[in-house]
Amino acid sequence: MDIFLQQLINGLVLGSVYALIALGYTMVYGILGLINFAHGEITMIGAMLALAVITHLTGSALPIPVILLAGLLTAIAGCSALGLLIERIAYRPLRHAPRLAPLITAIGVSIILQNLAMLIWGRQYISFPPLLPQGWIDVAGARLTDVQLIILITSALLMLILDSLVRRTPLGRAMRATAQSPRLAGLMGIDANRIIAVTFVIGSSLAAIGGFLVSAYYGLAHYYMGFLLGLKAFSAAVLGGIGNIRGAMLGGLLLGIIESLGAGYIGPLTHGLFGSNYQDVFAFFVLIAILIIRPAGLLGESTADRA
Amino acid sequence: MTELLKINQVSKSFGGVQALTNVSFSIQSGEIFGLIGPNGAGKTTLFNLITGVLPVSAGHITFNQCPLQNLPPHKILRLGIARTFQNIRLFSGMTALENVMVGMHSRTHAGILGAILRNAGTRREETHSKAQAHHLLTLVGISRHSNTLAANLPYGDQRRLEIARALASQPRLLALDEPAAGMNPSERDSLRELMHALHQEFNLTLLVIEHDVQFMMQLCHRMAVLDFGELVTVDTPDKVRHHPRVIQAWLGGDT
Repeated sequence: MDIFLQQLINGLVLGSVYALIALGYTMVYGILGLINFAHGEITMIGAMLALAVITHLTGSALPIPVILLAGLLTAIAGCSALGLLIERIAYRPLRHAPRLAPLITAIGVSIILQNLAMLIWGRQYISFPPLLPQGWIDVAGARLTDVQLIILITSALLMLILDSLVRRTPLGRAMRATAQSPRLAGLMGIDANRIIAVTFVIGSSLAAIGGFLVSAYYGLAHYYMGFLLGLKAFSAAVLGGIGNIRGAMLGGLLLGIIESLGAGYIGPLTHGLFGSNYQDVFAFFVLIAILIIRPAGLLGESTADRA
Repeated sequence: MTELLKINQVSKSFGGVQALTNVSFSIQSGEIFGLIGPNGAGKTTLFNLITGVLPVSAGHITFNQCPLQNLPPHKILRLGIARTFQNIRLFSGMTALENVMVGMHSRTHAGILGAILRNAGTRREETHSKAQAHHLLTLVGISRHSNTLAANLPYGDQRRLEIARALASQPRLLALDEPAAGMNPSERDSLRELMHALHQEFNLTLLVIEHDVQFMMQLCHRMAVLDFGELVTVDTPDKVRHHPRVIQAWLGGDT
């Protein structure tokens, strides 16, 4: 089996999930200049909601794809509502406050969500019911499982849709206009509050899908999973240039691949001194190295302008 | 003629500074109305009150009999008041065409679902918007730049793009804040021709701020003169020209 190719596939899969989640960070930052630290927790809530519905429906007469879809749609609806609610009660009142205030609030919201999830679903790992296809296909000696294939196709599709939405539709234009200047956008007839709300809905929906895919990939979910996942996705957004949508996609994929290759090679490279459990260290090390060379991120503009 | 915009006893203060005091006048539908006055007279402040950027401190502004108090800017635009800015404010990272299409936002209907699904209705609307935007760019004379980023346009064309973007919302009243600023005499002449043409073509009412009194005398049907936040007079250019306080302030010296 080709280790390099295998790790590349694993990295791409992981990276495309990071990218989905990173999009939420980057879109909100692009429009509000706010780092929504609760975004990782929204991903976790998405996974939890999906798993709750799927576990509940498992064993019923419904066909498996319907069960999975019901879980996914519940997660999307729940996370969209949650995103809207957080924006409305936690961020909107602080829109004109100094930047540190909404940032601290975001951290607060994330702690609240984490504890809420712990109270509802408990501290234990929740496993994904055995509904997923177990097959795999051979790619030049490496193994691409059906679940991996589903993740790759779903995220690629979503990213294409989002990219064309932002670049080619009236809604996307309104989002870009609001990102440049909410006041000017208002004078052009754009209801900035509505555009901001829509941004939260889109970001939260992508997070819900990301959470669902991650829990399907690893076969489990946990109330604390949002922390590291959010941190990675945030790093991916920064790596690509925060505020830049294509940057978040690129950053997510790169971070996934770096992490995965790191996990595969760090053992042999260090003669066994560090094992694959250092993959996170490796990923963040590369992140820091890239940011030293390009502080605005790979696709970020070096001006002080918000994207 | 019917009364389109009514400014009634409007005052605005910033802390202790009285920017406008009891200003009243009204603009008739179809009129080209000028607003002149020295720097700091409160002209742009009045624009900001009309377009909802700032709240009025006292008094009332009504547009087409509809009170504008407490309406956010995007709703005022929807009622039919569009504006340009003294310091050009374009969406610099977007092309000229996209800037105009953003201006159309209030007249399009596609929501989030339409944007995601890209159904036939949404696509038709988009094609229509694009054609309309091209038409407006042609009208203001910068269609050759439609795919140029706004930030890269020459200065005079940026001013024209602002006008096209404002027209895109299909306003009844177009408010232009120093549209001729920084232009040379021949550019001013062609701008004045453009404004006359737009006034005809769209049956627009124009409200114009400008320092160049000569430019305004040739352009406007009537004008209001502001000085230190107070209304000096509202009259036809000829009468304004002979108003003692205007002569004192602009032409210098004795009446």
